[in-house]
Amino acid sequence: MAGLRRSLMAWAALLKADIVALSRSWVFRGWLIALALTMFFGLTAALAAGRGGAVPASVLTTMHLSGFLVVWSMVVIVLSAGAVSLEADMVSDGILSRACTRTQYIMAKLVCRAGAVLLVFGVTSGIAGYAAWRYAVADVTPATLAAGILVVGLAMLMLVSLGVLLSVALNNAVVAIIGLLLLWYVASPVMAFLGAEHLSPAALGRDLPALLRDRNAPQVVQAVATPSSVTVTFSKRLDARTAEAPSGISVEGSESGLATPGTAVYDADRRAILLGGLDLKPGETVTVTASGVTDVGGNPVSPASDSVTATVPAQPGEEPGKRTAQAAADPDATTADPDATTTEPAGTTPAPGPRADRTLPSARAGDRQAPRVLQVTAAATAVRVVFNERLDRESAEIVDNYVVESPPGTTRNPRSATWEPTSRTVTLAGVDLPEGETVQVTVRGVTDEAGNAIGRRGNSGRWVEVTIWKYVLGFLAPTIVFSVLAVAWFSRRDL
Amino acid sequence: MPIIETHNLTKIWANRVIALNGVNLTVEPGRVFGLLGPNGAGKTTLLKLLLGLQMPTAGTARVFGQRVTPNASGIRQRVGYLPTNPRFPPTMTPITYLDLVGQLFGMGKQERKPRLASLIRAVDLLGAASRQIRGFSTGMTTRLGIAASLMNDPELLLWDEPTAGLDPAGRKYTLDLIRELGRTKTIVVSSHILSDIDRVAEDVGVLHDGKLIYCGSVRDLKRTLARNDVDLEVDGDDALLDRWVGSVSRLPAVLRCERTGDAVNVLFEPGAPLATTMGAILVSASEMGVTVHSVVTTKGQTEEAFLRLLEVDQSHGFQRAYGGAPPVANGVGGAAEG
Repeated sequence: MAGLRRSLMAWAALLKADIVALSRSWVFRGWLIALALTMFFGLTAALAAGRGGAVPASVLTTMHLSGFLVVWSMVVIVLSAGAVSLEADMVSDGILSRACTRTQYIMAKLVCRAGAVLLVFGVTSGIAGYAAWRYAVADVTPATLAAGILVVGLAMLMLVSLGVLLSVALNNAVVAIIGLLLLWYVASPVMAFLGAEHLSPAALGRDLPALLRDRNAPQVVQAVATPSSVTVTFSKRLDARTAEAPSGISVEGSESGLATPGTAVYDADRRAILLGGLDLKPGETVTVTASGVTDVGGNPVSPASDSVTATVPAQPGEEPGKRTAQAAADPDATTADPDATTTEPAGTTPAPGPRADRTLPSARAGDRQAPRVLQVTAAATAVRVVFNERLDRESAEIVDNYVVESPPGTTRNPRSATWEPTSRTVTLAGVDLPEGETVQVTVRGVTDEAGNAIGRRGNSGRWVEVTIWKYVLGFLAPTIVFSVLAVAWFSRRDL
Repeated sequence: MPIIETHNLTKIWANRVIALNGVNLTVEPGRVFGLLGPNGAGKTTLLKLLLGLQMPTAGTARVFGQRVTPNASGIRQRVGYLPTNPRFPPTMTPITYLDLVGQLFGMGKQERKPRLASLIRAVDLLGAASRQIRGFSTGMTTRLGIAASLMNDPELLLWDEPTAGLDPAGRKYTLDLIRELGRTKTIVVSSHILSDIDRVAEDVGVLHDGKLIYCGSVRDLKRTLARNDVDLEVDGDDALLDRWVGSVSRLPAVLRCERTGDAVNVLFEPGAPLATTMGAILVSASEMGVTVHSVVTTKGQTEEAFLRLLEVDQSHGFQRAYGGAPPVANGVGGAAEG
């Protein structure tokens, strides 16, 4: 116990000494000053230029993160590659001739340098990310921001560990720094040779916008119709240019036929488009299709939910109502899905065959719960959809009941659907899925064995290829290897 | 149990330089052991191997009975090391550096702070206690190194050339300190300054070209390698001096008498009565009108013994690899093998 206490005390003393030395280093101080100035002026300029919604948050955040990958990495290289080699002349006399181990010394160096770099990176990236998310065009989510920051943070961590390793392996600080600069900036061919090109700074900088951008497709949530207008509400903010383009949305009345809106005004706060200049008949059902609309990240509306129906009030003064719309769209909705809203995306309109089964006696007798999708998984050419209960085989094996999108917004057509009752799984085979893209499956028209049709809630699932892990593992594994090598190398070195 | 024990300790740098060659050394507790050798003999390498700062190419080193490894902090916990021309973290002050050293030794604040204060005072660095080490002179840095080596109140001190670069006062201070500390601790002091070792060490190991060519007591070294010769400083014209040197050479107990300018060296036969022969030489000088300014006997001088050792070692030539064993003393100081 006393040995452990002494060991921890020695390590903490070394760590503290290195923190003090680092905080007095002009390289570190200069870095902080330069970073603060460039962040202030860069963000101010970018946000000022982007006032009015021209600069997406993903671009702003990429600028900041790429700054670490390209410019500030030089400082990180100097701080890490000089960690041991810059004090090689005194480490033997002043430090390691006392009662501490080399492992303690290297671990203190690693923790101090990595901690300092990550602290500076984390704080500045947090500020930049928040500013971008708050003030720029929000094509990112907190989760994607966190993922992007995490990935670049891990890249910095790997750089620090490689720097400390070189500083241990090479006695000369200048040689270590130049070596690491060369390794870092010409890493692409080496990484490509190793089959890990995505880990090179250039490739990472290129992929960052995609990693940061929100890739969820917007969905049509609701439509409210009046004789002269239709208000369509979406699940997320839209790109105003596409939202206000007349060609982006079509309106078709059950009696008046296809109508062209005279105006399209996008209300960003309500996430709604007000289509004006229409001449609809009272009591008729209108179908609104928003196929040409994208969100601020450029994601098109999901084909599975790009349409919505609404009913024009029959009497003047009648509230554009829910019941009317609901009755027109889905008379049994309350039976199958108690949570169904007043309007319903056209994509979930019951299919003729299976939906008829919803009135089977068994449904009325006992099970009144609609089936739900529990899980979606995807392989190269197949998608598996797991449900919470056994389905009616006939409806489950109708391939048209499944909309497969990969990436969300791009429909992929499976060739067959096979129901496996034991695992309550439908396998959609023959789907040509692009590599590394999210797969989204929306189910409609499927009923359970009791005849309850799948509703709007729980009718879709998403399988996301965990792209972040290839970065996390790709950076974390070398970090651990480099750190262990640094300790092992230093333990064998003559001082 | 010996405090230091090495077996066949060998260090070869990058397959190019042989720094140490099969050193077998034993240092007993409570002794002041002098490590003598010319520059480049391997003294610093030997001390660094004993601390685990360097890895032996072959052989082993044991300190306090434990095998020395790079991570053997338990050994260094009991050792105080003073390097040659030490280098310490330049941005630290004596207070912060000694505080760090105390923490590395696991000393609590209550023990650490008073100790560093008393040591700073003892090495006369009070006036510079808050100054950065980067501006220190060699003497100040060495004094700080002495304080650091004593921070943990060690059982064993390894001091590498502690008087290097010091002025006469600093040198005297350091040698007096070694004598003082030698009463309670085991000390290994390396130096190429023979008189320093002569003043403080009881036992001595002589390193030459990485080989330990002598290990034993200082007294035995002098006795073993003693030469019966005398140096005289004389005055007179050349012809007169040559005649006088010739007459001295003919004295019965004199093996050889040589003159180089005003310096004359007289070598006596082993066992010759020194006083009688010297009397005859001085009488001869007086009779012939040669002025004798000084008479210096080299017998008993460590420097002479040391140089003699080096000569003997070199004269062994290729035998040094096999049977050319150096003088070995049987004293408590230790033993050496060839």
